Amino acid sequence: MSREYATNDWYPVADAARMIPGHGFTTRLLGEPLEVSGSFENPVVTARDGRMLPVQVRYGHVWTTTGSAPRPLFDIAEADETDRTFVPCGAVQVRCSPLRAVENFLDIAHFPFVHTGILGEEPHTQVAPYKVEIREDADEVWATQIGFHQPQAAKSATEAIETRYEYRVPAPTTAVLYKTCPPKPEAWDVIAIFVQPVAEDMCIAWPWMALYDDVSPYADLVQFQQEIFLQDRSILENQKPTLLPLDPRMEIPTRCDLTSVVYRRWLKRKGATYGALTTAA
Amino acid sequence: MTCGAILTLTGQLSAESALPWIHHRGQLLNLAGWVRREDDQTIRMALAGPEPLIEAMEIACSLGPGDVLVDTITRARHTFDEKPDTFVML
Repeated sequence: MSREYATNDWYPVADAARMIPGHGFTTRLLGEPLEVSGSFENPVVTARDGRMLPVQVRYGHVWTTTGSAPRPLFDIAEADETDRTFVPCGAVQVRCSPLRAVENFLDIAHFPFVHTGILGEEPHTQVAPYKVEIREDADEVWATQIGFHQPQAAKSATEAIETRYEYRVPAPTTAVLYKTCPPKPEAWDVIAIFVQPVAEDMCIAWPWMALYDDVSPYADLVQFQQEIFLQDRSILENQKPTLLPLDPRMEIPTRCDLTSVVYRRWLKRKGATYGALTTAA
Repeated sequence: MTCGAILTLTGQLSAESALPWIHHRGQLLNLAGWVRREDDQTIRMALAGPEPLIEAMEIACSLGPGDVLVDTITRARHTFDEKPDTFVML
């Protein structure tokens, strides 16, 4: 359960648009308390020892790092496409490992059973074979060629469609989903989950979307995504073991779990074990 | 003759846990055949059983126990002269 790797990543700690001067707040990152204050233009994050931490505002959130040699924050090119609607979806605190939250986001097979009528429905439960790889040049996990029947793939969807998916994991606590955009099928909607590791067994998920949807009201877009995350929360908080096993002795992964298996292999190889169980589960 | 598969793992596989872990997983999946260490970087196994369970073995082995790192896993067809009825460590 090493903190060593984790300290040099960047993490979201606030919705940038909701920063109000004079109304700072306390949060936790990697088990340590932090004070977040300032404004959208000039956010300030202070460690317990009074040290001011590095800060950047990106993807609608305030990001910080506690390490002395932070790796660069990953790039999401779609964030620079000005014709998209950018939707920070608030925060969902979940009593689970931050790695479990990411793994759940990558799991397609649970859609018909947990997000019934929205992201999946019976009898369309089969996950067709897809491709997963660790892209060595970018040091990221990618799952591609995914197709799934969805009753309501997005707020903008007016009927069930065969949705195409690509998943990308650019950092241990971030996953980015590229999926068919219902009103603009030649483009991808982008939905990301940025996870703040509060502790090894507690996290805050900050969903963020970059969509082509100029019809749905902002509140409806947020509510749509919040509903999905709240459906996931009860599943996540009841998973055993709480930490993500990197030695899944008692699990039997199958073809549809391939993204999870490759994600775990990537974490193990990097030594990114904060929130992971490294002994036999 | 019985058709099956040969799986070859390469990577950092020197940990003592590797072979017993694979043996345990093979028994859990009710597969038959054998597994043996070729060297510190290579483990090979011959498997007989239903295709979905051989595939589940391949996926599980691509992660392996906590103290090994699997870099590659390759699969080839294999024919057993006699149908194996247990999964053994050689």
